[in-house]
Amino acid sequence: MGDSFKLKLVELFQRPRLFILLAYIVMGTYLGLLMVINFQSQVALQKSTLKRIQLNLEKRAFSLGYFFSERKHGLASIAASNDVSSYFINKSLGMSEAYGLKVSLFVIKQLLLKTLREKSIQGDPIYRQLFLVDTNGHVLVDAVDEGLEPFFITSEKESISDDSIVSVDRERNKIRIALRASCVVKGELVGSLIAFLNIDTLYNHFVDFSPNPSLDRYDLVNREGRIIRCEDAEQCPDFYGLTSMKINDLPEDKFSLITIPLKAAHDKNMMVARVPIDNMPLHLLSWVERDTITGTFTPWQSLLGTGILALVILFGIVKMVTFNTKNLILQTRYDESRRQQNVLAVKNEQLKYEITRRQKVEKELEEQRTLQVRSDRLRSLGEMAAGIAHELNQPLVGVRGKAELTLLALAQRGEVVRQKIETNMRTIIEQVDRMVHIIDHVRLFAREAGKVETSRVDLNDIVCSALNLVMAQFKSHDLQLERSLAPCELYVLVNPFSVEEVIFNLLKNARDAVESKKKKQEKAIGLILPSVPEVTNRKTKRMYG
Amino acid sequence: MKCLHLKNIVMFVLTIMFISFTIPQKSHGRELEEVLEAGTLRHLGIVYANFITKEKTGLDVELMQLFAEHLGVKYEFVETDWQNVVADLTGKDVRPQGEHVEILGENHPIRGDVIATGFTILPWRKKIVNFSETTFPTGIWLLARADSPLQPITPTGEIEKDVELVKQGLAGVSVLGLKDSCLDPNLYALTGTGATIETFPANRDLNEMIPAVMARMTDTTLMDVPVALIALEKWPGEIKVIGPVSPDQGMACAFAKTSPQLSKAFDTFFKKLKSSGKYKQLVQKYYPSLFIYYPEFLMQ
Repeated sequence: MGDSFKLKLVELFQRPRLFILLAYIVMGTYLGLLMVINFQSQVALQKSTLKRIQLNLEKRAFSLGYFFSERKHGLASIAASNDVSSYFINKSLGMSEAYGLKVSLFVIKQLLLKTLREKSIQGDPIYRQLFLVDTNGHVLVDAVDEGLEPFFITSEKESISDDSIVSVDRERNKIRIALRASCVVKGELVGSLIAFLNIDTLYNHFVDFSPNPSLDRYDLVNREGRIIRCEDAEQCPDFYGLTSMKINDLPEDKFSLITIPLKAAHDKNMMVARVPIDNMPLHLLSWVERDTITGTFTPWQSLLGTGILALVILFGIVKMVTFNTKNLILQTRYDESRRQQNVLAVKNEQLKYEITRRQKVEKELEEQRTLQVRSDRLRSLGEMAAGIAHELNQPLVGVRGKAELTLLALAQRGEVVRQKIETNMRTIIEQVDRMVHIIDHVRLFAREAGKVETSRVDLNDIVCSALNLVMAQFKSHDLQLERSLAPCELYVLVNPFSVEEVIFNLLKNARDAVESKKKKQEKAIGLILPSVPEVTNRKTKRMYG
Repeated sequence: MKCLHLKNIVMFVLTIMFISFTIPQKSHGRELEEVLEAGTLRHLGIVYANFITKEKTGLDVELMQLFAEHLGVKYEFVETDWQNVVADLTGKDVRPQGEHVEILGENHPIRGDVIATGFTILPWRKKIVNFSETTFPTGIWLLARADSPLQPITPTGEIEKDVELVKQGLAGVSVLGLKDSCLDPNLYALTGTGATIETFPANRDLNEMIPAVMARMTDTTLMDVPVALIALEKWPGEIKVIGPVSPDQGMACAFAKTSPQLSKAFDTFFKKLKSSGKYKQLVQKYYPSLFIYYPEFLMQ
């Protein structure tokens, strides 16, 4: 399957223009999709960042609200405790500090000290100072004895209220957030419990505890829009021109973001938001440089840059694809050629094997043919031997007879006898020559028949030579052999002995056929040899393959 | 015969027992050497506020334990009561007569070597025992119920005047006191104030005097400052302090007149205890609010 796929790919690659166009379309679509996704991701990231800031701000504001609520409840519990109430009750009974009230104040102080000591967050004290004051603002108990006075307490009687007091005294570098709990005895305000919060603990655990000060910043602002604490002036929004008025202009009832252009020298924009804190006259303010959220480039700028980059990448990819395509085509062709080479090699091997085997077989066949030929020839010779024997027997009889006559003649004397002996000797010599001729002929036949060498001979002579070999045999079998030679010389380029062998075999077969018919008491047929050229061509092919 | 012999033996044993119980073992308190030889310091104490609690702990218990450790002897607590505490130390039955004391008998068995039980230094007590250096400041306040029509005085800054102001308001008011103790009304010239003096039963716990006021068994009660401070913490809003009925007083350990060495040994020990700051810690442990009223105490 891999090969078929490669082949299809090769076919496709063989159309480079179409392929490049297709690649451009695909890559362009893909990169365009990436750009859109990137743009959407940037926008979503900005929204997510803003959302995170919003949630973070609200979470911190909620935590602060809960924290202040807990502190208020704690202070209210202390204000309502027996220890505190006892003092005011005893005081209301007319007791003096000289005789009894001091004990109550002592106990209250022990209670406040215990509160200072025990109320902490991860070892950081929550309260910096705790006061018990009467309705005239006179400090009854100062837990720490630092000499600091609750400056915001006036001499005027205040109504029962659980408002929290926030005072930012920036001129004297005093930042204090105070909580107040009223001491009420029999429905009447008799005093207040004032707690100064530890600003450092508040900020470190609730306001701005970010380990990375470079991102969004937080701070508390009072109702007048004044930032409670901003240690680093460089990082403080006031430095950038975020005045109290602008802070107060921020919507209070809901979270919102606004962009405030800063001073020309800095040319920065900031995103500011504030959230009210429950139970307190405070807001939690958050500010962050807009570039932190949006980045140096706007999404559209990024999109444009990404588009240009995408085009460059696309061009490069297409080039690379084209190069790879050609490489792939070449590789495929190379692989195909290698495969074909391997196939050819295998085929060659098989062919070689076949050729070798065929050669071997042909050799064997040739050998068999040779043997067959020799066998046929030997058989022919065997067949011929009978004729030869018969042919030789005649002259041998003649020779014997003449020899006997000669012996007889020798026994006689005279001229006549001498002439008879001479005649008989000549006859013997002729007969011997005839036998020699026959023997030579047979020797040549056995040696030369089947060879490929040819010579120019008269076919009539070949026929006569073959007939001479079988004439005596035909006679002995009472067969009549008629010949019809060519009226003229018919020279052909053949192996005369091979042709003679053919004619000999034809005559043998004809003899056997006639004798077979004679046995069946059928009429003997004559063998009519067609014209020699026809016999030579057809029979020779049949007999000699 | 046998019965007579047995009867004689019984009579003899009874006589010996009678003699042993009637003849005083010692006619004087033990001196330092005797205490060291005996190997035990016997501490006479009465369950009273945080000086000696019901669990037999308290400021005076720890003080005496430290003293015994200083002497190298064992500590033994011997519980007594206000009526017999002096006799248990001196072997003399006494009766206070204002600033004087009347010796009623000298056959009382001596049961202790030192009294340390929030024992107020009183003129009549001085005549019969030797007091150590002041171990605790005190005074006597008049306490009333919170709803009592008797109003607390406005302090004048001079305690003598404050005392007079208190006495001026006692006409028709019942005042509970404890005879022969620092809360004895006779010590503070209350009889001429028009107040009705009521005596708290001697066999009752002194700590029940204030509850008696809250139970409306009496209008007011005398109480020394340490106990009053504790009561104010314990029953806030139920009792109030009207004012002082005595000038500033002091509490100290008491030794028999016949034990000057023992008393001197205590003074030496106590001086060292104060200078090390340990005694102040001890006082703050049991009376943390004391120094509010007596900030000068232990200042030197």
